[in-house]
Amino acid sequence: MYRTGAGQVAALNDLDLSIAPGEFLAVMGPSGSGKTTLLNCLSGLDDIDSGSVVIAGEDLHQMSDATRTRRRAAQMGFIFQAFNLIPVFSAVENVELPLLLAGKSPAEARKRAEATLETVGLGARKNHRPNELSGGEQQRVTIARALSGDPLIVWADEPTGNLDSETAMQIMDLLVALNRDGLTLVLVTHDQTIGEMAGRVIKMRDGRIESTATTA
Amino acid sequence: MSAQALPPLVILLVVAILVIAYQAVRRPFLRRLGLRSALRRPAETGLVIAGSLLGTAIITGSFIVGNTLNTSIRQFAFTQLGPIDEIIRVPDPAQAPGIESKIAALHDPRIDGVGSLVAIPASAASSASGSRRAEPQTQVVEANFDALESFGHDPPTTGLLGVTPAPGHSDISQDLADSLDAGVGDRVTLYMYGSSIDVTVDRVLPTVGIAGFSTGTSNSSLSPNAFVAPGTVADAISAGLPPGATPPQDLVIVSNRGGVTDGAAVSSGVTSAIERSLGPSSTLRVDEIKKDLLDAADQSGKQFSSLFLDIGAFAIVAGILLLVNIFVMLSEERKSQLGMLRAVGLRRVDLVRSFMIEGAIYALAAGALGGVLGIGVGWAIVKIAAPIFSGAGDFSLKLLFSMTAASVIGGACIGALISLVTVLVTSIRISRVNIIRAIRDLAEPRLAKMRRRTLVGGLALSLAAGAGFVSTFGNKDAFALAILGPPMVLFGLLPLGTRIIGRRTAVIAVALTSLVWGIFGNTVTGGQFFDGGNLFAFVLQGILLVFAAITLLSQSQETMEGGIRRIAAKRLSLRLALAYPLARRFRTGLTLIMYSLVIFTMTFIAVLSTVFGSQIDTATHDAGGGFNIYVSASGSNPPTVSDIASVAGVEHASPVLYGSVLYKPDSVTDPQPWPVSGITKDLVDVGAPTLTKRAAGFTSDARVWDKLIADPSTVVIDSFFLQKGGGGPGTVYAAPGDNLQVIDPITNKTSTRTVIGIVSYDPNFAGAYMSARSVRAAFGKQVSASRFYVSTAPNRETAVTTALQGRFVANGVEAKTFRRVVEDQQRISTQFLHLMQGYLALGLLVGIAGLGVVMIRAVRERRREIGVLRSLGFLSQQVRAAFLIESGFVAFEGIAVGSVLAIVTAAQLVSHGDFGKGIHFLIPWVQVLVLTGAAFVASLVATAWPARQASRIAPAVALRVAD
Repeated sequence: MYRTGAGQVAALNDLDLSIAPGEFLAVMGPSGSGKTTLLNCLSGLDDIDSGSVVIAGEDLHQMSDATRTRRRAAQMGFIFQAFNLIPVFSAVENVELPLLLAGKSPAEARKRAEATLETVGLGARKNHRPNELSGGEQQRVTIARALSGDPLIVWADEPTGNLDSETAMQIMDLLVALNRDGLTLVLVTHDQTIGEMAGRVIKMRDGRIESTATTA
Repeated sequence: MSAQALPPLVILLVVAILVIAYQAVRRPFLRRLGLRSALRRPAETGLVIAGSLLGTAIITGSFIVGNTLNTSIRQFAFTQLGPIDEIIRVPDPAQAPGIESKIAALHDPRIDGVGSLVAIPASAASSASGSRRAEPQTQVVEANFDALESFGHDPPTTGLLGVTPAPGHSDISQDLADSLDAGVGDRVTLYMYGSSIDVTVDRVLPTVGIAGFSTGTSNSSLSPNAFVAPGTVADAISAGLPPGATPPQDLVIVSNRGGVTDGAAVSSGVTSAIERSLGPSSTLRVDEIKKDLLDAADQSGKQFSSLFLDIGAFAIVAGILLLVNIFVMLSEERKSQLGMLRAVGLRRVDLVRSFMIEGAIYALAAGALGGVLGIGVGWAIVKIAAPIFSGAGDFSLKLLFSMTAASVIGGACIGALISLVTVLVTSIRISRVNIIRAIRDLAEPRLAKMRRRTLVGGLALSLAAGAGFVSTFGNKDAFALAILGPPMVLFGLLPLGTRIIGRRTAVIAVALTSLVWGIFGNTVTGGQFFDGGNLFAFVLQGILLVFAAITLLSQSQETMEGGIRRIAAKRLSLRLALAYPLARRFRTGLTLIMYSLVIFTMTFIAVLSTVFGSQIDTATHDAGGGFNIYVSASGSNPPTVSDIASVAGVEHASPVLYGSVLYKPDSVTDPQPWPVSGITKDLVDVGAPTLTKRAAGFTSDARVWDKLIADPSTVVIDSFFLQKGGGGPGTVYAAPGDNLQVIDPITNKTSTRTVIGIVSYDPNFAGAYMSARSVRAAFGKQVSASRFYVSTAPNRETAVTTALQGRFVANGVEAKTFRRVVEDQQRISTQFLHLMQGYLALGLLVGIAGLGVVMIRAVRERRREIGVLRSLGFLSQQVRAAFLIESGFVAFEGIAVGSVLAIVTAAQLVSHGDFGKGIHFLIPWVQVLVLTGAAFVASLVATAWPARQASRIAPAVALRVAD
């Protein structure tokens, strides 16, 4: 429930969703349908009023904030539409953040972060700060950051929303390739073309799942 | 602040506001933009105003301190003069009636009263309280109450209601009654001219007007007067004038038309008229005593106002930096919005206008509230300072809190104008935003090529600053050019240096050289920084040092960054905390300068306070030379030197001729009264006071003193020569090598003396030293042999002072060890320095509050980033820790830079004799640690709330909400 000045609004309602390991799920729907809220609730960024979100056998919302936060660091990766890199950190410093949060040594974190940046094709730009990178490059850094900690699942909220179509396709190709390598990916998008790249698409309206379709 | 200075300020502010208002009316879009930006977040608007108003409060508070000093000193016009505006000292009492008649015959409408008094120094004693109490500075006054009651046509202002005391009776002033603990009906013994007279107290007169009459020549704020029957003094002197005594003088007193203070306005005209009436052959001098007192009050008020304003300048600069910092943060927060506005057609000047509309709201609110808060600041200073002033012994002053509308309104106007100018300058910088880079939040590129006009402008600045520095080298009044000239030369060369050796190296070179100049420049220029006695030199030096040090630190952080990152590698909170200040150097630099400035001054004053406080031995030796007791006696009845020498324990006694005479160095228009001490060769042989400066050609203090004894045309002055105002460094009226005229205050006889040295410390107000021969030649009998330098056997000084005071009560002897006098003065100085520290704490408040404001804005600015970090797995505690560490890091750097600079600068100044010879440098470690520790903890406390807010940010909300 979202509390507004006018009262309460049910952002999500009557949802039952299972995501299999290695699955690529696309969440689609019109603006205000609850896509991002669903992603936030599933990842534990937002609280829910009732129900449960179970990941690897544990209910995320029964955990304390600290435990849930540690679980995010250990098991999840995030990709945002607005990139959301830390502006005062270089690309490699951004990427190694989740590794350090997961308790890796600084040397190991740096090594793996550099390797991940190489994977997304940004090895040469590792010491640049976000505002010295293009939008596509920033999103690649975000993807590298999301992947660097070997997460169980990656949440991507409109990852191509700020990119031109060519760059968007490059980013999606990268994500699809990663999914093929076993990454579980939940992606929110408006874009039908991008949605069709997922294994399963759920369409939302008014906080409910309106339809589910398997594409592959 | 004077009322005359107010209209231009008000006009300036009104014009500025009208210009802004015109833009707001003419451009509704800009008005909406400016107003809504200011009013959108009331809490943050409140913080901006709170950060800006302290500077205004400090300015207003300083003005109010000046008002209070002015009013308090002006009070003496009521308590010690009343209707008396001019006095004429008449050496021959028989002349007085004739002079009165001549003045009365003028029928000058500006004169509404003429009379005469006889006033002589004496001493008094009484056993009324059960124990014998004495007042060695009593003034015996003969006055005809019947004639003087109506003097000036305002009887209450004379304090002389009633009848003239009969022989054997006396009316005493409240001050004398308090001193002797005597009252109506008690018996009091008056000692003058070698005789004693027992009188019965008929009345205790209020310390008002003629009843409280004092010429102020003793610099005492008290009026221990005993009014006796006419003829009493003549009877006392009938047996002859005792050796060394000053003969009695008649004082013809004149009242100008108007109230107690209004009458002084026509003093110059009245004086001219009186001088004409006395005829061209007359050598008598008309002393504009009321006007001089009021002028001294104005001067004191201005000096204290300036003192607090100068010290407060650090806090004002800190406040300005805070405002700049806030606006830079606001602009960065609104960067994309500004880019969009520019993209849709808003011109740069429109952005400036919009910011000015927003800034005007902050400036006016901060000005108004700061003015009100300034009343509280002024009141608090006066409350804290009152015991210090009232406990200053003979120089005590009762502070009467006073403020004028001009001070409050003027302070508010100045504060508002400073804020407006700050916003204008910052807005112009902000408006130079590149549209695309702003919209896309891209980094600003470094200038690829130096503009030609920048290069030429820089070289022109260098040349101008260099020429100014060279042409004023050695001129103590050109302290600003001495301090800032060389750094400005280097600053002007920066564009050229950037081309040749690269920007970073050039900036480091300029900053490092400026820093070295700031520390050692005073020594290099032979004391040009501080010799003019202007406290603002210290402000400029502090600002130069702190700016240079912080620039150096900011530029060096690239080098330090690697090391810091390695240290912080394992601790994410630490890494995050250090990343922001290291990345945003301009903003961090502003905050650091703000912080360092205040810590610099507070530490500097703490160090100086300790250094001076620990110099009792040195100061005692400087003041006393080879003597350890200073004896003062009644000018009408001094003991002889052989009387003094006969006291058990006295090893040596040297007599000093003492009196108040007039001096006119070239730097003043009218002759000024100041004490003179006529010394003999045997004082010099035993050991004269230490000198702080000698004229050219003298290789030692001893040679100066020998010359003084041998050459009657020479004089040694004290370091506060002719400074009446107090309140820190004042005007330097004469220097070694200067000539000054010395004038007999009664006969107007004038002669010239050359200054050959300056005494470093004169706690007994001995004034200017000349040889006894020289003093007799210049002032005849107007000086008395009433001072003595005494040396005793070791550890006998206490016994000797007690014996001297007990044995010579009739002579009005006061004996004090130099150590005791020095300790008393050091105590007052230390208290005053503590008051300064307290005042500076207001600046610290600006710094701490500023850090809090900056961190609050940082939380808002980084809201989204905090959301990201939380989503990645940052714990809320880590977020809180990161903010606290960041604040602690900035505070630590600011504290370290400020305190180290203060200690190094103080060490340099002390070790090179800039504060006097033989002063040993000391660091008050405990005080410095407490000060810096408290500042550090306060900074963390100020950040606690924003850090907590940051830790509570819900990641989903932060990521979803754009702003």
